[in-house]
Amino acid sequence: MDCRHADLLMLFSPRDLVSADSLALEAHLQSCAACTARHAASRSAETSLRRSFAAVPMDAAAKARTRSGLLHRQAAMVRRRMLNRAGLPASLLLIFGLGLGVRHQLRPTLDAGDFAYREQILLEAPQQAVELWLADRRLPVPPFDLNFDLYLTHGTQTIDGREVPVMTFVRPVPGGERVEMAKVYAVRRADFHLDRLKDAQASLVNATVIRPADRVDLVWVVIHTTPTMEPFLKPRGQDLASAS
Amino acid sequence: MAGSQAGLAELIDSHYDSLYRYAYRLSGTSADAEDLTQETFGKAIVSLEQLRDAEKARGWLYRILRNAYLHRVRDEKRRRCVPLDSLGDLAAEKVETVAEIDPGALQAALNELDETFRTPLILFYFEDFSYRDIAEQLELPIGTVMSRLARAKAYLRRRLAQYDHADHGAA
Repeated sequence: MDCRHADLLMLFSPRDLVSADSLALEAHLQSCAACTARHAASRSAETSLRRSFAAVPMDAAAKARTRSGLLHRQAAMVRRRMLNRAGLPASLLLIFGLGLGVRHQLRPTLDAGDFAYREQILLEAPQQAVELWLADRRLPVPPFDLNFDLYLTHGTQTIDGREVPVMTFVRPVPGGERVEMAKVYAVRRADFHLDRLKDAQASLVNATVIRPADRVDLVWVVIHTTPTMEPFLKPRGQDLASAS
Repeated sequence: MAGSQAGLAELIDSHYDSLYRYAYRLSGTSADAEDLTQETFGKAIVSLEQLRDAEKARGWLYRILRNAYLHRVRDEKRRRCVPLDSLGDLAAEKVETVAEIDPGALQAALNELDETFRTPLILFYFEDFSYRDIAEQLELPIGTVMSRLARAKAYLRRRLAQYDHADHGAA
């Protein structure tokens, strides 16, 4: 090893030299006074610098302050995380619970007596019951006198995705087992295009369209198995009670 | 455990002093050093649970601190840095004898250095980082670290010798 090579190796930290280089440098230094002097000066300067670098004034109070602040901060962070973790399920549970509670509270109470009473009204005074049902749906009484002695049922029927109120009437055919039927639909203009709606006939069923004079938003459509809807109307000049 | 209070306390107790010294030498003031150290641990807390290997804590914390420091000084124009050319060449290095080093002079000389030279110097001198550790820490090839260190050391010795001569001259 020459002095130039030794100078190069001296640039390294002893910890970074491989053992072969370290041994070679050591051997050279033992035989070269000039390099030994430079190496000693370098080591001395390094030691001095290392000592100076480490000579940083430490502030024990600042350290304690920082330590305490950081521990508090971490504790707060852990609490926040726990709350966040527990918060979402708790919120969902609360919302679900509230929703369930509200739904529970809003459920109507079914009273068997009330149930029976409503059915009794239908049997005793079907016309009044149906008129109340129509009024609930903001529908007027039909402008023709239906014979409620022939009333069977009422409700809604889904037609082309729209719920259409309908009343059903049946009438026994004299001397036969068959019955005639009429269904009275209240069709709203909001649900269907009604401008071209008109009377129609099929082989077994006929349709009669009635446009009330006072309601442009509504059309009554009566589907009947009889040639006309006349058999399902109140007998003319006859009181309903006397007719029955 | 790493994410627990005991884990954090242990981390602070083990590394506060060296991080503070590193921050002090980087920033040059005790106030900045305290802020930087606090900021480093503050950032470490957030991802402390991810620290699986306690052996790597030191390098990890140093990296956080250096990034925090770089972030602070990125837009500062106040720092007067020595151009790389003026740091000299390796071949031209001549060992200056530095007897007793004035802490103020050392910090002043460090502050003159560009951060790319100052950081390896600080890591080398007082935290016992090997060239390999520094290369890993700064994500640089080991040859670059050696070159920067050698030039920075030479510059530092020259500047400290100048201070020394000036002091003795003045006396």
